[in-house]
Amino acid sequence: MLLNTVGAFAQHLVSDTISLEGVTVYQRRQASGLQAGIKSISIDTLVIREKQGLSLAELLQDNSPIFIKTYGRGATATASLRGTSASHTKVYWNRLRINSPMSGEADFSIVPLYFVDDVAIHFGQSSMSFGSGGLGGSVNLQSTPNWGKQYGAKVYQSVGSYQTYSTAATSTYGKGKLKAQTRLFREASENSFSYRNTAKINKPIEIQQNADYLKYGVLQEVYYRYSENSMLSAKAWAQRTDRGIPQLMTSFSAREINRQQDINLNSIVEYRSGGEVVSWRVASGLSHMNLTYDFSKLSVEGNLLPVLSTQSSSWSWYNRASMDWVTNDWITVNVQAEVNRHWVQSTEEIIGNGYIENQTHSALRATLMATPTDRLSLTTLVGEEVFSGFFTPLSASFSFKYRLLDEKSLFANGGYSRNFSYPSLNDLHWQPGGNPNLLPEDAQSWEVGLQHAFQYAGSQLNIEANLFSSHINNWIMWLPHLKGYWEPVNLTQVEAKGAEASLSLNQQIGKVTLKMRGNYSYTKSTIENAGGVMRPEAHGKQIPFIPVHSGGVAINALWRSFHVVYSFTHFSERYTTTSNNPNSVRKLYPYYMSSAAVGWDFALYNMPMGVQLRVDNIFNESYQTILWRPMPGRNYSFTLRVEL
Amino acid sequence: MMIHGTYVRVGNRTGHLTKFFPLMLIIATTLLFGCMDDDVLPVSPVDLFGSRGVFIINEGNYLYGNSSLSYYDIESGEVVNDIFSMANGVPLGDVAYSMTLHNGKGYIVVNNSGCIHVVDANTLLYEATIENLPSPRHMLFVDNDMALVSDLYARAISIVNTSTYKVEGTIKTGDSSMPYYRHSSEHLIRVGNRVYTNSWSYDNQVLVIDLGQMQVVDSIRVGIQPLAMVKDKNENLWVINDGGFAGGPMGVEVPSLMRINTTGNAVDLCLNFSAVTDAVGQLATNAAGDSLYFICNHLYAMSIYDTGLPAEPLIARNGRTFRALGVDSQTGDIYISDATDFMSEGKVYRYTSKGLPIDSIGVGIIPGNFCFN
Repeated sequence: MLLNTVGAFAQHLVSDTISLEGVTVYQRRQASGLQAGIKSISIDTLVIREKQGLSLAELLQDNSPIFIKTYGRGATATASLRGTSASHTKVYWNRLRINSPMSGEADFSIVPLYFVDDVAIHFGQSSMSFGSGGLGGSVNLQSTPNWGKQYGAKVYQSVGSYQTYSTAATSTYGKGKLKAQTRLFREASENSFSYRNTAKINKPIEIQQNADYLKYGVLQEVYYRYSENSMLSAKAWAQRTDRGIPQLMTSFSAREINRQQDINLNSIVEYRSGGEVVSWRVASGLSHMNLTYDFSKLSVEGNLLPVLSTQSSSWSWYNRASMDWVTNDWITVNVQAEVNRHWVQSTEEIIGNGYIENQTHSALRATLMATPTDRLSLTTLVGEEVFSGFFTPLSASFSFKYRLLDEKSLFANGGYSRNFSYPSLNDLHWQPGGNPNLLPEDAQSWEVGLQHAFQYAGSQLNIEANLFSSHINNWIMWLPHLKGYWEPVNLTQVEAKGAEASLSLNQQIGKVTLKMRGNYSYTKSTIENAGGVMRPEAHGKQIPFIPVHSGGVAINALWRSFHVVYSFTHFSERYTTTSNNPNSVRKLYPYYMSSAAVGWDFALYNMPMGVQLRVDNIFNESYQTILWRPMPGRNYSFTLRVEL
Repeated sequence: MMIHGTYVRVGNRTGHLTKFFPLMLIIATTLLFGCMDDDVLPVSPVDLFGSRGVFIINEGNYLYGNSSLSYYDIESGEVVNDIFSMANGVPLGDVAYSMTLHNGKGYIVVNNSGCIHVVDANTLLYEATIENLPSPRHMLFVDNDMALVSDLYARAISIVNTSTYKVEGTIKTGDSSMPYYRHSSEHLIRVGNRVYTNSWSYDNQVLVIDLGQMQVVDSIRVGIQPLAMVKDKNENLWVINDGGFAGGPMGVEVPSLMRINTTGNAVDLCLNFSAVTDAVGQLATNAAGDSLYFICNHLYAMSIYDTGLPAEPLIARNGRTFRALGVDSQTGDIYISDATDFMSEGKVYRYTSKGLPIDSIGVGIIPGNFCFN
């Protein structure tokens, strides 16, 4: 409660955050460049635990206001925040950016929750504390050491519908100064669900073909504590994903081979030193992504007819240093410097198209945090970035958080920022279509909000409401070109604005602990001026695939060693054309999805164990989230967890 | 009284919490009743009997499955969009490409669905699907029971039996030893006992197929990426080459218009456009076969006896993106489509043969070809 009266610094990544909320209060000196007042949420670790075995895409879809666009179960999934595009959501794993330097996007379906301990979402300008380009925001993932246990291991085995098997093991070992953790997982699915094919005459029941996937990976972490305040850590994550890409429901060509394979290696070494006045963090990371995609048709005689065979390979070397300086009782300064280098290569074997490029990216950021009174905290951030000799204009962010009433936890917050997103390497160089004349996307945003936290006898209610608005100049969109390929162009101005409300309640009813969260977002993301590349008819229309209304409710009940989870997600209809034609053939109808799980934790032979049964798509909806890509009906999974 | 009672309890701190619980439950249960309806394509009967008009084949976007068929009644000026879905309650497919009418049936080639949908030409009611075509583009009837289907990726032309709707064989146009997909096939034009096809994709050839031998017997080198081809009154072929693109494996050159003399199977006229950035498109002839229309940014018209390109367009593009081109053989009216930004519904403009506007209509996404009935 002492901290509460001091004033709140914004969200920080800690593993014991209790609920999905934005008003968590932290120590003043741990702020580490994070900004006051701007919306950030972290996902309850219990929720992450209960969803073990699923991917980050599924976690965020059920438990956050992020709109996940997925091509199917286990297939590529990208995220959209506050009406922006997938490349505007930056993803950091232990502060290492894992968006592809080539596409600018991150595939949320390949991040296993077994490897992640904390998930935080930083909306809009609050992502600027970690790097530029997060015009929508960022998703920050942490893998953290478990110092509390000397030796420990957990083994998970899941069996699910459509021949889905998932096996994972996590272990922690070491005491005192040294700690190591190893995590492994493997997940395979035939994914051959049946669905009613509404795209064909008589709407036959068909079995989904070529949607199988196999994912496996390992994460190794080593932590060494030099002293109370300093630590060296090294983490390496290697993963391979092999997926079939199914045909559209409208296809009548049975003869096809269409597969994608991803290899991802991420590693980071970090040294942290904390002092009374000055704290340091220095990190260096290496990231490699290799994506191969093969698409062949088969002739009537059965001969292979290659259509596309592409390989995209990137190596990125990230280097970062960050210093926090507590100048006096109420001012903290954070300075960050980054020098990153990317080497990328894209080749297409059949035609021989491709490109080889490299890019040096440097950034310098300074943040000043002040709490001039017990009721007010202020943050100012200024940053400058250089991309292979191109200096982006100065980016800046200002934000505040103010306690409106003396005794109550009622805060007003707000901020203004200017942020840039530099075109990805594919945007600039992809063959054919890459456009080296693209300008960086230039966003000016503001947001205001109110937060109220109410606590009584161990129960807690948080209510939060926000308004946000971004004017994004030079928004990059890929459009078909006359010669048959796609080309990225700058749209003069896009406006993304909206309102967000969230509510979370933790309550004790007798012996039942209830956690309930609800969120709702209204998002208008419109092309205000396409600068000649589109007709005036597109102006003022919602950007394709971004829902105007989205929301969800998640309820978590715990009674003794039993838990029940229910979640509901809704998106309003999404247009697939820039004209927003209401014709039903070309829009996606509203999405309503419910899932639930029941679990029981117990001990057998002194070994803690847990079982969980999960049901997705409870109401057996027949639906698509992308045009003519079928999704499975009601499906089940059963998980057994054994702790050693 | 109940309302008053609730307010009284609000004053009590525990009351706050018990109030929130039902609130959350109300939210949860209200939302629960949502139900997705994925069966939303409305069906209503179509009857085009006695109507003279033009079908507009709207490609839609690749992998979106949002192609569609529109119909424009030439006499009444009425337009019906999504006429295939309307008649059948199912989508047309992914990248509808061309349509051929034969003996009261419509054959709609759906490129990336790998099929041809066969419908009644008047009611548009579905009759059959010719399946397992790798990447079909255009269809040419050779006789009442046999048609050829050109293909982007098959390196072969499919021979389809239109009584059984089965692929009965192929005419090989290339093999895997040839670089870059060679040879694809696009338009199929019959001259006597031969069929000519232009190989557009990363290629520079027009192939000659002998219908007696059912194989490729000759090839004619044209410009880079021959996009479209038509036949004039002298049974000569006009080919428009898009010139490729910078960075493409075939390289890039100035787009050109060429004439192939089908007697000697050789190019006897080559007219170069002015810049590599010129965006060329489709070709058409009038009913007499002595006037040629083509798209190069704008729409141009010329006589087949001209030996130079026309200096002034017949119809200026005025910000439009011209895509499909057709000429009504009865009236001589010109139909030209505008693909707009390729991500929204396009338009079709109707002009007299002199280029005077008659009508404009809204159609589907990327109107790519016309088929007059």
